[in-house]
Formats: sequence, structure tokens, C-alpha cells
Amino acid sequence: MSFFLPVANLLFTSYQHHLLRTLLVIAALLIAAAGLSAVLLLNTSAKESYAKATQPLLQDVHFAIKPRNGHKISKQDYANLRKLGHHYLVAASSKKLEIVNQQKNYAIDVLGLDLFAIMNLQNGSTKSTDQSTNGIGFDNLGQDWFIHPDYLDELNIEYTALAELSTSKGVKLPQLKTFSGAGMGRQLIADIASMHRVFGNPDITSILVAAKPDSAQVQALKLDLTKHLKLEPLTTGEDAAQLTDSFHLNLLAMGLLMFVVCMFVVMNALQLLMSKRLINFKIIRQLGVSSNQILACTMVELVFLCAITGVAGGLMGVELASLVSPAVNQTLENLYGVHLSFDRVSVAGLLATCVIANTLGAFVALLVPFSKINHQLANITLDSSNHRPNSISQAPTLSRIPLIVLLTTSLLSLFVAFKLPSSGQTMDFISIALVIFSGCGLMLLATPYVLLKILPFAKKLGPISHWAMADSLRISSSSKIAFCAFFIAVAANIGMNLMVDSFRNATDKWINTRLNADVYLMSTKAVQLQQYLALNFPQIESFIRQSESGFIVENECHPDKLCRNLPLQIRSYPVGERHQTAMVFEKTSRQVWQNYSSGNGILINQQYSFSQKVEVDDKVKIQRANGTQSVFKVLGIYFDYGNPHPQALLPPSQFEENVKNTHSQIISLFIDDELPLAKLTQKLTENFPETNLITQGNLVGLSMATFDRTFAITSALNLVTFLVAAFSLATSIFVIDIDNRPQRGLMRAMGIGVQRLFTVSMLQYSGLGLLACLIAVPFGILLSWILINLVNVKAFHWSYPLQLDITNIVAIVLSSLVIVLVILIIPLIRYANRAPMEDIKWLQN
Amino acid sequence: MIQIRGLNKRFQDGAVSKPILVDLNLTIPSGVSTSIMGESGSGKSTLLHLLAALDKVDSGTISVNDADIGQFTGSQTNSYRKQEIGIVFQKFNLIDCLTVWDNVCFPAKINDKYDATYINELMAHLGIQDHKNKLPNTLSGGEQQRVAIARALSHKPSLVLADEPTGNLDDKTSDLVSKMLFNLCRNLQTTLIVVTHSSTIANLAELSFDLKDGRLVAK
Repeated sequence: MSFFLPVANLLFTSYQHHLLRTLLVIAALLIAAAGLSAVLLLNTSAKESYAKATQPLLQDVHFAIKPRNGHKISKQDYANLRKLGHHYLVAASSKKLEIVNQQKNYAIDVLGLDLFAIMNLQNGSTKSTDQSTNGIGFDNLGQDWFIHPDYLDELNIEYTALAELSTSKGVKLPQLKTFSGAGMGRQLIADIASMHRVFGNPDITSILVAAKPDSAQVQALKLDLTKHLKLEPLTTGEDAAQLTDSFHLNLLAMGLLMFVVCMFVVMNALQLLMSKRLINFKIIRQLGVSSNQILACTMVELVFLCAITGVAGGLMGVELASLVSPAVNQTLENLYGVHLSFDRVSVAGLLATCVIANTLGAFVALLVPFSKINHQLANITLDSSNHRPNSISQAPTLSRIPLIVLLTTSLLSLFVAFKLPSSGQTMDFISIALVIFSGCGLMLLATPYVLLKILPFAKKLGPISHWAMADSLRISSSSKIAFCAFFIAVAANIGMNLMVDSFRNATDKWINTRLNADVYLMSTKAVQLQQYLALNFPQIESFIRQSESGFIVENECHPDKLCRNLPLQIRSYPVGERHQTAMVFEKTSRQVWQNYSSGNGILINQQYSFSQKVEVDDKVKIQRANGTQSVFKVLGIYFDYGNPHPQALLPPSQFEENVKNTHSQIISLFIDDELPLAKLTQKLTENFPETNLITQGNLVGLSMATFDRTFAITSALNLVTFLVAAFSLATSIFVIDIDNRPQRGLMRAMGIGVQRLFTVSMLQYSGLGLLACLIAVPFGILLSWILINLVNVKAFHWSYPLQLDITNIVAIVLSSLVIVLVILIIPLIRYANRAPMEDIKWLQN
Repeated sequence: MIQIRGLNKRFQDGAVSKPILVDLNLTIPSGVSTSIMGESGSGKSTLLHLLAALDKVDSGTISVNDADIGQFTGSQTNSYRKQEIGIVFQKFNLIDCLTVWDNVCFPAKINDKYDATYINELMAHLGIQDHKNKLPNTLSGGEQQRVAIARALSHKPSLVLADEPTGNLDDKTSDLVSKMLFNLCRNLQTTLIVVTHSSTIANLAELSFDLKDGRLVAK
């Protein structure tokens, strides 16, 4: 270990001599840590906040007992079921309240739960009698009500006011206590008995099945249910949970992409630093220090740098996340009604993650420059001319063999990812990474090849263009890592943009086709409403969209794959011509509508098709809400963006035949142009005040606004990734500019003006940038195709056609080139303002 | 002809302004070789840079072929450097991404004075015709300096400025290269100004000066 201190001393004292390059390494590590920390913090906070806001007090609630239409759940029903041995049942009652505090009114949900049942259930499962370990931990259980402190802050209610709250109708609420246990969402939690005392016996709205029952238990429970009760799978929470998956996936993918780009910056900066240290490394090699010892010291140095930058960058990321949290909050609140809070995230854990990720990333980033340096250290004479190529045509280029291996591996991994659905998202990410790295390899191989091919033409144009082209070859070699980062950013940008654009266009087209009615009504009295409309507005054509919850029992095409109790949405879909036109199919069988109208089959959504591997003409067995099981032929597969669940459509006639008690909530209206909408609205408000009316235009606008909000963060992260890549390029250009000073000084000494050199530099870098962009275009398109047809299908079970918007691609390429030129302006202006003498002195030294 | 009159140049050394060249006067007839010797920091290179219009005088004039280079505009300065001057640097300063041939041809081509026969002869005279297609970094120091000399003369400038042209070479190579430089300039009737520490090289020049305390002393 005697070598360690002197070598480490040499490394650390070299900072003052190579300050700029050292600062670049530090800046790159800082940005990587800050970006990672911000994304992780936002992602984890969003997840935690979402879980906090939506998670019920009980885990594993997948079913609920609800009353059939026109019926209620009584206390006796609940008691009877528990007496029959269903101890996992918990009565729930919800109520909306308007509470008053300091002359302000707040709309709040109160959730009444049988807290004693929960406590017994959890004590039973944990085999503990200690009340504090029951997961709820409430004292004075039957009397006090509970609120999460974050929610209290959000409502801006003082702690001192908790004992004096009352409803707008003057009903005084029990003592409110703050409790920050898991599952406390944006609501007041009360014991159901206490709630009944305050509000005078409200209904039990549902009985939750607080366990994950097997199919036998489900059947047993169903048998014990009286006729006015039904067992329904709970899908609402899962819907939103899966929707947030897209949010997390987006954020995480972009965060990882940014981290990878940052690591390219680190690699670039390390390479530049290492090249400056080469001469010192050679000297200490001559003095007997081995290259492994140099590597060990360099790694220790990196650990030191990563520890400092990981902590500092991590803290910067926390600040950054706080800065952008209002925008993220808006998105989350709009989409999921979740308020982002950082309280639950451990900053120490976050910083540790940053330090570890930075260190691992930096070690990987060190591999390339050190292997290069190591090769050069093999010859420890100070004259390195032996390694110089003899002619330009022998300029160093990437070997074709690793590229072929890389391309083959990426194709193989893509094949595996496509053909083996069980390969999971990790395989998808690996495939995408390999495709991107193949692109980098191709760019590295193609750039010198293209430049060498252009060189003879440039020579014909004159000596300066010849020099510029030959110099570009040199620049392309020293800036290849930076251009790799640039390539990744451009390819990812094109890929993400095309994907989002294709999705947006597909959604827009789909929504506009599917939502073909003029007005949509949401009502709990749909049947009465339809009758009213038929009587008072005969010119209006109305359709009720009936819905029920069912199960996928079996797919006959895959008998080995049993899908018992897999929840399925079952909807009615009319057979009329305008509805046929409104349906957007991915695939259909022959005479789809004729067969559908005759009740000879069903239509299923892509989510059903992809998740169960069901194709057109396959037969599936599904269970309806009334318990009947039927085999249906699949007639068509339709697009159903945004729905995380499998869905099946049946013609209304068959629907009504089989299901007597359905929740009919959505009515689509086709209105004669001559009927004023205001008149209809007024009449509906008077006669059906609970009905919500929304026009087709508003609904489409609302849907697309939601879509845009979902992808706003993706776009922002896309831009950040691009800026990081631009930073990488800037650092590279900045340092190359320093290395270029002798060449430029020489040119100026030979009488070539600053403006001409300025133009040459602009053309050189924009040319290299353009080449990277041109290679990035097909890889970006490939990336978007993979995202649509692989990642989307696996994550969300839907896909859509890839739409190549040339304008979009050209815009990305041009904006990328503009960024390159903007980056160039700073060193070039510095250069233009420098007296030629300074460069000549540099030249002499 | 080169005429320097009342030339003064100072350099800022921290808070102190230090005189480098003081009231310097010099006349060099066209086609004559001149050597300037002096200790390190005596201002030899500064004088050379002023002659190359790479730096500006504080006061005084430098006339080259009756044109005051201190009065040149930016584009005139560029033209002057491009057409009238060839520079040979101590560290060769060849363009490492171009071949030897392209390096040598570069000034001739940017001046539209490209003459392949002349350049071939020049390279043959300097003994580097076999290295045409090599990159400069593959050559020895002496070979690189000969390429630099060929480049400085390829566009037939009226004035060649050489700043310690053999400072990086061994004695034997130094002797060979400097003789080549002086002979070529004499044959081409090109004015040559060489800044050097070496009295051997200085003796090859028709005029020799010592630079002491910012003033020139004829030897």
C-alpha cells in the first residue's frame, strides 16, 4: 500500500493543473446525482402520496358486498354474515360533509368503518394482543375521529380548532385527532357506530371483504348472500393504481435515461481528464507503479468524488424536486386527486442511493477511458508517436466485430422480449438499452467512414475545407463520447415524441370516433331519464350504456391457462349503423356486425386480447354478474385506450335478456340540430338535478387535456435529458476548443481570419451533429416502435399505430442542431475576442 | 525592405509595466538573411511577432515593402500574414490531421499560388519527398522541421520569420536544417529573419544583431 499515498497525492494535486477538466467531472456527477435524486424523490413521493390518498385502512380488499338496485344493506345483514363465519367482513359507510371552520366551508368525505372488526381481524392475523401493533393504533377507538396531519395542513385548519368543528348544518363533530398511520387518506376516518350516532343511522354503503379469498370462499360467500345483496370485485382502486403505473414508468424511464446520459458526460469528462494525466501516469509507471495500482487509486479518487457529489447533488435534487413539485402536483391532483408530499421519503436513503448509483455509474464510465489509458501505458516511453497512424485513412475507427456482436445481441434480446411475454420489463429495458448502444456503435463506426469518403470532395473545394474536414475527423475521435450522449438524447427524443404523438393522434382519432353522440348524460336514474326524454323530446335518440362486473373464466384457446375470477368489465354496445361507424377495431372477423347483432359473439378490447392472448374467432368463457357462465366467440378486438381492464361488449338485447339489475349510468344522446341545448339542459336540471350533462366537444377536450397533463412531465424530462446531453456536448466542445488552440493559432498566423475560422467550426460541429442526428432518426423510429409494440403492450395491454410525423422529426433534428450551434457560440466568441498573440503564445508553449 | 523606426513595446508584469523593446531601429534589405540573438526574455520573439503582425506596437512603425503594418485593418493584416509571410516555429506546429503534402501545400493553396512542380522541388531539396503521404506525427523532429520550412516557403513569401527553428533538434540535425533554410531563402531571394540562441546559426546570416536591454546591437 506504500504506493497509495504518493499516487493519491499526485491525483489530488493535479486538480489545480487540470481544474477545468476536474470541474467537468464534478459537474457531471453533480447533475447525475441531482437528476436521479429529483426523479426518485418525485416518483417515490407520488407513489407514497398516492398510496396514502387512496389506500383503504385495510389491505387486500378486492371484493365488496353491495345492495342490488333499490335495496339497502342493513345492520342485520352485516351481523348475519359475520355470524355465518365471514369474520373478514367490515362494514363501511361513507358520507360527504361540509364542515365549517373560521367562516370557511370545506367539503370532506367521512369514511365510517367497523374499526373493532378491523382491529380483531388484524390482531388475528398478527397473533398479537398489543393494540399498538394492529396497524391502526387508535386510542379511544369508538369515540374519536381521525385525520392525517398532512390533510389537516392541506385544509389549513389549526390544530386548536380540531375540537370545535361542526358541519354547515350545525352538527358538532366529535373530537378530531391527527393520526399519520398508513392508509389515512384525504378523508376523516370514524368508527361506523360513532358516525351513526352523529348522523342518525345512515346506511351501510358496502361490506368490504378484507381478505383475499380463493374461489371456494367466494362461492361460499355468494351462497350466504341474501337476494338483495351482491358480491362485486372492487376495481376502482386498481384502475387508478394501474394508471399511475404509466406515470411511474414514464418518470422512471426518463430518469434512467437522464442518468445514462449523465454517465456519458462523466465518461467524457473522465476521458479528457485521463488524457491530461497520461504523461504523469507514464512517469509513475517508469518509477515502478503498476497500472492496476493507478486504477485502484483512481477508483478511490472516484469514490471520494462520488461521495461528495452524490450528497451535494442529491440535496440539489431535493431542491429541484421542490421547485418542480407545483407542476407535478397539478398533474397528480388533476389525474388522481393526489397531493404530493415529500414527508414520507427518507432523505438519508435517497442520498445513499445517489452516492451508490453515482459510484457504480462512475466506475462503469471509468472503464472506457482507463482501458484506453491502460493500452497507452503499456508503452511507458514518453514518446507516444509509435501509436500514431501513418495516414488519415488509418485513422482509428471502431472495429466492425463488436458492432456486429452488439447489433446481433440487441436483435436477439428484442426477439426474446417480443416472443416471451414472461420476460418482463427488465428484458424490455435491456433490449432498448442494447438498441440504443448499437446506434451509438453504428454512429462511431459511420462517422469516420463518412468523413473519409467526403474528404476527397472537400479537398477539391479548397485547402480550408480540406483542413476543416480532416480536422472534423480528429474532433469526431476526441468528442465521440459526447456525441454518443447527444445521439442518445436525439434518438430518445425522437422515440418518445413519436410515441407520444402517435398515442395522442390515435387517442384523438379514437375519442372523436367513439364519442359520436352529441351529448352524454351521467345519471343514476338512467331508465327514468330515458323514458322522460322519449316522452318530452321525441327528436332525441338516446342509448343507455349498461355495465356490469363479470369474470373471465376460461379462454378455450388456452385451456391450460385458467383465468378464474379475473375481473372483467361487461358493457352493452348498440348495433345501429352510427354505433358501428363509431367503433374503432384493431381486428375483426368476417361479418362482425351481422354476427354481433344476432348475438353470435362478443367484442373484446385490446387489453383482454393482449393479457389473455385471445384472438379473433377464439372462444372464451365468461361469467356474468348474475352468475351465469357462457361461452362466446370473439368477433372483434377494439381499441380502448386508458382502460387498464379487460372489457367485453355485448349487444343490448342480449344484455337485457340476461341481466335484470344493472347499473345504467351513461346515456348517449343524438340531438337534432334544431333543438337548443340550453333548453334540454334546463329541463334536465329541473327534473333530474343529480344528472351531469357534458357535450361531446367538452368531453373530448377534457380527455385530451388529461392526456396532455399526463405527458407534460415526460416532455419536461425529455427536455431536461436533452439539456444534459447538450451539457455533455458543451463540455466536450469546450475542452476540444482548448486543445484546438494551437491549430487555430497556426491558422491565424497563416492569415486566416477569425470569421472564417468561426464559420469552419460551426460547420464542423453542426456537420458532426447532423450526422449523429441522421443516424439517430432510424433508431428513434425503431425506439418508438418498440415502446408502442413492446413496452406499451406489456405494461398497459394496448398498442396503437406508429405515425411517422416527418415535421416532428425534422423539428427535433433542427432544434438539436440549433442547440449545438448555441453551445458553440460561447467558446467561439471567447476565441474571437482573444488576441492572436495569446494563441501564438499557446502555440509556442 | 523592412524598416523599423522608434519601436517601443512594453509588457504588463502584474502591476509593473516592463519595457521589452526600447526605441528600436532596424533596416533589413530585401532578400537578406538576418539573425537576432539574445538572452531568454530579451524580446526576440516579441520582435518576431510584431513583424508577423501577430501583436501590436506601443509606438513606432514597422514598414514592410513600404507598407506600415501597424496601420493595417483586420483584413489587411490577414492578407499580409497570408501572402507576405512564412513562419517557422520552434515546435514545428504542423497540422496533425493533414498529410505532409497537404501541410506543405496549405499556404500555397490559400494564396492561389499552388505550384506542384515548385513544391515537389522544394520537398526534394529538403529531402522529405518520400514522406508526402505520411501524417506529421510519424516523422522525426528534424523531418518535421523540414516540412515546416517547406510549408513556410511554399507560397513564395517575401519574408520568412523563424523563431528558434532548431531549438528542438540535436546539433547534427540542427546544422543540417538551418543550412537548408538559409540556402533555400538565398536561392529564392526571400528575406529571412531568424531568432536564435545558437551562434552557429547566427553565423550563417548575412546580418547579425544582438538584442540587449530592448535595443539592437550589430555584431
